[in-house]
Amino acid sequence: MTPPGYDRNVFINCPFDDAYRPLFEAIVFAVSDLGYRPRSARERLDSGEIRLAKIVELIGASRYSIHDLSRTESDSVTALPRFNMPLELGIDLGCRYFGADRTKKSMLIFDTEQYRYQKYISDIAGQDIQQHNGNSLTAVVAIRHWLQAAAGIPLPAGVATHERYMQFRDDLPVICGNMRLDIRDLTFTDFSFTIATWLREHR
Amino acid sequence: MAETWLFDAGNPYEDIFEEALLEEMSSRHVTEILQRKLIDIRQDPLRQEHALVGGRMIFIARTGELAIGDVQVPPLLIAYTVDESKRIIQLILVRRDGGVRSLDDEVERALASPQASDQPERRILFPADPTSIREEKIAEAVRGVLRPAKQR
Repeated sequence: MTPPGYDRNVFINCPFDDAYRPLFEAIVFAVSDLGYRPRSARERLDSGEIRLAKIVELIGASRYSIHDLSRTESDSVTALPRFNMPLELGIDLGCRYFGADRTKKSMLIFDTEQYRYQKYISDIAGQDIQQHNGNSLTAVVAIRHWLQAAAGIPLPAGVATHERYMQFRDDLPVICGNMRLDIRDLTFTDFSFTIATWLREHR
Repeated sequence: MAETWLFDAGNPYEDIFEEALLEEMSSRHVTEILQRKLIDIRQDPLRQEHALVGGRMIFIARTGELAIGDVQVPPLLIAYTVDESKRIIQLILVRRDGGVRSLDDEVERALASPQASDQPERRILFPADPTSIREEKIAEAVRGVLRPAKQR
């Protein structure tokens, strides 16, 4: 049995650092504007749950997922790559293969360059792997294009969604200012709620 | 003041356009140039070069030869059509400018391809988990941004 909302949930497995933040926000906005519910390990960051258990639960609750492997690179201090994102991709693939009611799971994988993954995780060949070049327009269009094909229902155009994202980005500092908060003070759920409210007001 | 032009959220050629865009977006620089051109198009879509293709008025926007820093970006061409009464722009294709491929043939093929007839559904899903800030406070803050815009 899949949980309620499964067919509309999109699990986002992306880096959480400041440099990635604009892209992360664009991805969350795009998923919302296309009529889906973004899910992320960040949504219950402070709840005290075991991180891996939380991630497994979110993956199991989401028919769709976006995995960004673009930060799979050696750390300047440890000379080792951080492997959380490929691990979560692996859990998702396992869920699709072993979960009898989850065979229709669909995933989009982002990397920095087209065939870079072949050098460090070649077994994922055959999956939908796209490059976003760190650009929000490419990321939004790739998400819309993948989701439209995977869900098989007409979705708003990617370029139009990106236009709305740019408008939302302009409004966001003012929205936060109205709440006397910094953008960084918003939790993932607060941010998702802000997007959904903004979209409702801009129908 | 004239109403703003918008990219059509229900663009019937969107799948073809997106496929071409994802194919062409080989580097950050190409994407950046394309993004700038889309802003130009949206500001004044009727100002670009245009021609009749398959009985429809098709606008062609060209980026020309450009460089970002030391990187030379290949020239791009964007074909689109407009609905003046609704002030919407429908993107048809993007590709490298020049070369031997016939633009007319490509545009005609795009115009003739089977398109989704249904308008996209606009569903808004709120988060399943509770917010840390009072929901009404967020809603008020969002509405606060709308008010000045509505007064204009």
